[in-house]
Amino acid sequence: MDPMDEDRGLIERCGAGEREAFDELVRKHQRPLYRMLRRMVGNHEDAADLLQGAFVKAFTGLGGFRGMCSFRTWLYRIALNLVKNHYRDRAREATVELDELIAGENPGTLAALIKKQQRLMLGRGLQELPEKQRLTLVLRAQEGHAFAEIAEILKCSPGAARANYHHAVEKLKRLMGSCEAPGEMRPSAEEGA
Amino acid sequence: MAMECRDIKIKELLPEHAAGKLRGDALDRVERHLGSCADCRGEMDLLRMLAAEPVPEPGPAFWEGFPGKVYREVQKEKAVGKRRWYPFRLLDIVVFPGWAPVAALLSVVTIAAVLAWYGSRHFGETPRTETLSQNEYLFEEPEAPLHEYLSGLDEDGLREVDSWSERELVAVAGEIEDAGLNGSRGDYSGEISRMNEEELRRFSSMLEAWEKEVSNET
Repeated sequence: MDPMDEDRGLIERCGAGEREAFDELVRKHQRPLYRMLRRMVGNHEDAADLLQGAFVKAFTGLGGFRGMCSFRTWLYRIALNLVKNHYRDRAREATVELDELIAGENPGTLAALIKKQQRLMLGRGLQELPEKQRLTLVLRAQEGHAFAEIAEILKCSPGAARANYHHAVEKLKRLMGSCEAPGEMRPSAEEGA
Repeated sequence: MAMECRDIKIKELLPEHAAGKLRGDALDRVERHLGSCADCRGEMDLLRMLAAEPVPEPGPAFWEGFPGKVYREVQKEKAVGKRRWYPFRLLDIVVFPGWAPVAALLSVVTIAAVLAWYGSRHFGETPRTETLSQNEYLFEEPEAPLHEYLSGLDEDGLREVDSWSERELVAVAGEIEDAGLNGSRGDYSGEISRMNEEELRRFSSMLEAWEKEVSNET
């Protein structure tokens, strides 16, 4: 069954008051949405709050869902608007927890140390990107969404989604490229990088 | 740094390749391209790092309890929503809260504009005074074309126009009687108030023509 049709069936059953359908719809989308929110805000507490907020808004506003896009797209759109409000309401501390996690690792080899540095740079580079480019890159490269769906979530054209993605990738490549000092070792295949 | 590759079609397949999802012809094409393109190889490294970046997940207890938590919050919101004043619930139908202040502002502006228009139409007219003589105008000379002015009048206004036309165009009324268009001179306000815009336009043209005729004769 087409995932969209499956969701529509569950939504109809939710509307009829079926608790089972409600739980199934939440379980289906909770983990992927949590992962995206966690990447965006960087800590569990905020990601969990935003996750709950997105689902509550989606289910209380189910009357306004006209089925023009998939339920997943609609849910992600709600979640990203909550993320924007979250950024507006507080200072951006998005990479604090992830940075600390990476910094806390104890690399045993030089290769692992270099990789750790690269990951730190990558995390910071992501935060430096303009919001729409970062969102597009996360949704495409980390969450595996197609450009058409990204365009629906971010309410832009597929062409704009592609352009945002390519600009984001080029910026990160330049950043990662500028981090490599001459003579700096890159992890080789033998070292299991 | 490697020269920037312009093959957008290959670049768009790289995230799937990094996630190990490419198959068949697409996989062969990308692998062949990567063999000769340092820029795309660098991009693949970047995408693999992004995809491999672990996201710490909460434990099973969080996931097991989560649907129930959402359900309870939804029931709470629905209960609160039922107690709210209906116009605010209408605003809640629009999911994004940002709409509410914009909608409120638009409503205030619209109501103010309607009140201003209504006030100018109904309270901006010259008031009646008892000192006006019988033959003096009871209303200002309209600035708009006459048919537009007439079509905007209510029943009282049309009655005034009728009274004026009866007083000022005595000669015209007499000619109408002579021509047999009306059996006798009477109160035309009822007929005028029942006219539609086209009829009012024709009537005002007739009045203008007769007025010219009368002023030419005098």
